[in-house]
Amino acid sequence: MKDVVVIGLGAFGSTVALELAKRGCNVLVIDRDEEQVEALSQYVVNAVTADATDPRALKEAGVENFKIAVVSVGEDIASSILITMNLKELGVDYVVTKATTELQGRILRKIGADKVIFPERDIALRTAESIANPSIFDYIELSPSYGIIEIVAPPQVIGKTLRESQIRSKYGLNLIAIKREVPIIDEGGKTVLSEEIIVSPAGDEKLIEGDVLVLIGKYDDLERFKKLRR
Amino acid sequence: MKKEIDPGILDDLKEVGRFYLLHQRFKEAIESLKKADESSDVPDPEIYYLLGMAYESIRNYEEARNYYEKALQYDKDFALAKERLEKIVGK
Repeated sequence: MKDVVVIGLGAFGSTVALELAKRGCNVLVIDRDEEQVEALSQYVVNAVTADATDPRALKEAGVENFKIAVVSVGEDIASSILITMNLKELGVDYVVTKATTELQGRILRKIGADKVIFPERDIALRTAESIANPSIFDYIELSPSYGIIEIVAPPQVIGKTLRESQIRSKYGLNLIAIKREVPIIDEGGKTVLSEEIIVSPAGDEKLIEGDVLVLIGKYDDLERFKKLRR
Repeated sequence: MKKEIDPGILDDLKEVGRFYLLHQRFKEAIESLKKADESSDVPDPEIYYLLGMAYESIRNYEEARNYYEKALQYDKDFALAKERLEKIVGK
């Protein structure tokens, strides 16, 4: 079971703390706002009202015994920096800090944050992408150069078998699965839709209109494939 | 027992549309179902539900939503249409 300290209990920090607790982690939450701490206290192992920018307060709360910390103190970058630094000095192995801008991220990395996350930027990117390009359902970054995409099959491959579509030979991508809504007659004689997922489809699988392709590949190849649409 | 044959073009077109839908020939399904709708004097919520599914299958969620809503407009207790509509929320 992992021991995790979560500092800053806004919407983000509270959710992280609750979800960690749900997954069986021992969670210590710290925030300056007594009400926020109180609200979470029944769900986590320990909840402390303290100013985490003060190293003594952190020590008193027992932070030294934790290997993992999550810091999300909102817009206040000065506090984020101080808290991250305090945690590293107290010997916390792995500190994850939330940032809102690239510059903040760079500073946080310099002073020892092991991982900097940009939740707002990440969701903004996804939102923009899904509005601008509704045929893309999801994108998962595996590394800066590799990713997985869920995309509606472009007209160029519809009606072709997977082999004929040249997804691998021409576009350099691998098809992990096909998601398909299949109209069927159910036991009650009603016409309904049933979602079918064809995992690692064979070369002779025919692609039909409306298929959602789950593809893995290099970022540049995925970008090239995305542009096929229309 | 002799079954009464309904000579109505409406039912034929609707069944042709359903046949195409079940064979995943969505363009033909949409065509037949739209014709069925046009040739009918009384709106048939089932036609709209089938059209909704055809559009949902080809991931045209906007049209799918329109037709499911239309199905519910003429039959507010159409549970299957309601179910689909809830599934595509946010898509």
